[in-house]
Amino acid sequence: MWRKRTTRQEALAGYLFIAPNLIGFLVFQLIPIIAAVVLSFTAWDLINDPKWVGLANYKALLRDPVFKLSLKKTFQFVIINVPLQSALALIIAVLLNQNIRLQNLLRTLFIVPWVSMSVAVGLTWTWIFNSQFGIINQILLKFGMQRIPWLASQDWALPSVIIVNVWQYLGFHIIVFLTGLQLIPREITEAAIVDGASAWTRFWRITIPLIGPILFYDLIVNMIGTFQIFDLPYAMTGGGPGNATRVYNLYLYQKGFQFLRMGEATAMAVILFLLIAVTSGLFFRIIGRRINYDLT
Amino acid sequence: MKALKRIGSILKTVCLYALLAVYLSPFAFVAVNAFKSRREILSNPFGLPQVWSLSNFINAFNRMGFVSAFVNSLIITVFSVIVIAVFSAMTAYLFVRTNWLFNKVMFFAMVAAMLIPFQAIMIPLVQIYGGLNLLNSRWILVYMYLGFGTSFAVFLYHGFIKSIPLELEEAALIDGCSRLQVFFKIVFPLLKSTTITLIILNVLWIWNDFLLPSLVLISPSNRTLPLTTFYFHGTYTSDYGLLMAALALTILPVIIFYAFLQKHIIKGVMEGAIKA
Repeated sequence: MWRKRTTRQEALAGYLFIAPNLIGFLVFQLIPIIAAVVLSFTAWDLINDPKWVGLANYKALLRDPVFKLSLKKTFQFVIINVPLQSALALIIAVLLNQNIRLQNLLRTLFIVPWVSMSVAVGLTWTWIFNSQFGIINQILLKFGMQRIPWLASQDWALPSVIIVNVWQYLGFHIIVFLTGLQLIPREITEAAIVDGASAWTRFWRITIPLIGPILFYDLIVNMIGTFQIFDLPYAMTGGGPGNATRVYNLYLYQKGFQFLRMGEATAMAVILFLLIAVTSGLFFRIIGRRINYDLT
Repeated sequence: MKALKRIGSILKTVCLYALLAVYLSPFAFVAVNAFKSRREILSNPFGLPQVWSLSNFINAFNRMGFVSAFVNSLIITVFSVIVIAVFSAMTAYLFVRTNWLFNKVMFFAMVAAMLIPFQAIMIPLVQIYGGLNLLNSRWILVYMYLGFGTSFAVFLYHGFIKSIPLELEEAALIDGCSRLQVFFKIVFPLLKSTTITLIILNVLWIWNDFLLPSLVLISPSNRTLPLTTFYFHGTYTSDYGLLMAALALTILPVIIFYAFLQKHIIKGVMEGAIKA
């Protein structure tokens, strides 16, 4: 229809109108993406021109113990954070879903940390974890327990940042699950109650299979987001103590902007992208296929 | 049996409220301690302050340059959000209503670019445009947000515009409307609910964003609220009461925004989940 009525002139005028964002997209997104891949094969310290070095950056990364450590920290972060956060959110969403009156107020309040600025949230929690007067240690002391050195200790720092991450984004995942739960037809649940199915059985036999697609979506979004965690460890620990919280993106940032090893940093970026693509792809293959999508 | 069920449901409610209280306690901790002096925080971090003194807030407000940071954040967020919505809606409209190869290639490139993490492009971005002396401007940052935000926005609008019947537009064209008038008078108003969702998600993203502004805005006078808070925190590490007040001031505007628009925000997240 459009083609019959539109003159060439009209279409060109249309492109003129959308040129600003097409150019913005090309200039700020597409060109840097291509540049990142090219730069990952060069050595560049900002002062001299980039020099083609082939795979040297990738080889250097494989020899870099901190690179491997940051990879390990990130995987630990993902493996602990994703199941914990999504499971907690699912449980709370199921509880909220049983009482519609409460639901509106509670879900509103649960999402407040998510809308807050993560840098401010991270800084706030450094005070809560503060070993001298932070609330948590004060409570521990009151109950006659030992102080925990939280962010100051090699062992506790990563779990501490994970706790904050779980806390901050929990509300988002609760909303996602509530969406899924509200798609389950009431009749199914009611029929199961009439048949005498316990809450436990209903959860595993009805809820879980029927929110399959949403559960899958949530886990994927959670995983991709967690792989890219940056703000919280940056604001809370800067990667320390030692390398305890130096997650992948933080190290990438530091390699590029503090150690000025641009080539290696962009190589890390390329690896990150491949890593996310492969992990999501595997996830789709293993779990995505078994899910029943005919819900709505 | 009935009584047992009632007790169970009351217990569940109590549990939920208790959980919520613990969940939101960090905010209470900051709010209460923002009124206290450093000495009082150390001796009594839990209780209410002896005197409700606003001096921490006033000092933090002045010393962090709250007004300047707030205005910078506001300008950047408002302009970015508007240009993203308007230009992306027009682009999606053109993409849906014409089937040129160029459109298909661009649309594919945009959807693909949504999968690329920001960290993958930040280094070339800073190098190329820093080298060209294009950084350190709020307007360049707005333009960058348009460049980064447009993919998702076009994707979102694309899905919706496809469902708008052509007859509406044809009638208007016959009545002598120009294409542009058709878009702004008929199509764009129909996209209202998508636009609200998009604006809210973008406000939360841009207002709270730390990494991109930290790379682009170099001079302190251009700093946004997250940057100012971060540097302020680095400068006054031991003045606890002052820091708490600064954090409270930083977090408050978004919470107010959220309080007014929470229905739309929750709806936005829900729609996002269903579409994917």
